[in-house]
Amino acid sequence: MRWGLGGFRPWLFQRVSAVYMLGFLLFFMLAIFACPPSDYQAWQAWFAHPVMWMATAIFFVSLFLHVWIGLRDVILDYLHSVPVRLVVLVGLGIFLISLILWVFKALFTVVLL
Amino acid sequence: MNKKNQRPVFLNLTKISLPVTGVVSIFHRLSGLFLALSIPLLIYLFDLSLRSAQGFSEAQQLLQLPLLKLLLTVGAWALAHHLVAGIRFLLIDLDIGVLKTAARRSAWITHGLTTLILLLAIVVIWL
Repeated sequence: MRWGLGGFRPWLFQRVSAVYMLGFLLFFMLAIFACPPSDYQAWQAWFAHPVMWMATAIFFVSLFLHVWIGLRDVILDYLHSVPVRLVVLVGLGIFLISLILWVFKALFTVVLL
Repeated sequence: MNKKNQRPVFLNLTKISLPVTGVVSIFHRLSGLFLALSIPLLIYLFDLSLRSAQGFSEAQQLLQLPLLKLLLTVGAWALAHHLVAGIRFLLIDLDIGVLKTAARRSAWITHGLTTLILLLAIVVIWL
């Protein structure tokens, strides 16, 4: 059965998001080790910087789409019953949408504080 | 599904000898699943640490809990494996290391590098 879920676009997005997240994580870990944020002010200032704020927002959007494509493929590989697939995929969707709302709440707190 | 497909299925996990490239593949899935399930905790700590000075120190204290250190250690392994194996898969997409010998070698390198990063992470997290 074709669900219209496969194809070139998710395949490509999975790779583009992987490369972006790899770059962001390497930069973030280097920054953490090079100059660890000593207190709240320093930590808050990191994410309040427009470039870092944007890079972090793009990281989380990439992460959620990467998780959606990745787990969706895993679910379709191991669960074969259509109703079970539907329930699990809807559950995954709700899980990811709640998380993205939560992370943007945190990100907007940084700039609005 | 697949009513016509009646091939015998051999799924005795104790008798399948998965090649090292297959181990990388299944670990990529397992580590990805673990990382996905740990996102709520990550966002909880991120949100808490950015809310206020008090939240920041609360997050710092939470990170000292043995249970969180353990999760962080498993997370370090999962992230290391997912990234290294991910780079390997990207190289294979670019037609680098597709042949059997090269693929097996890069699979072993993946496990080696991941173990190395895990040891480093253990030192950083626990010492």
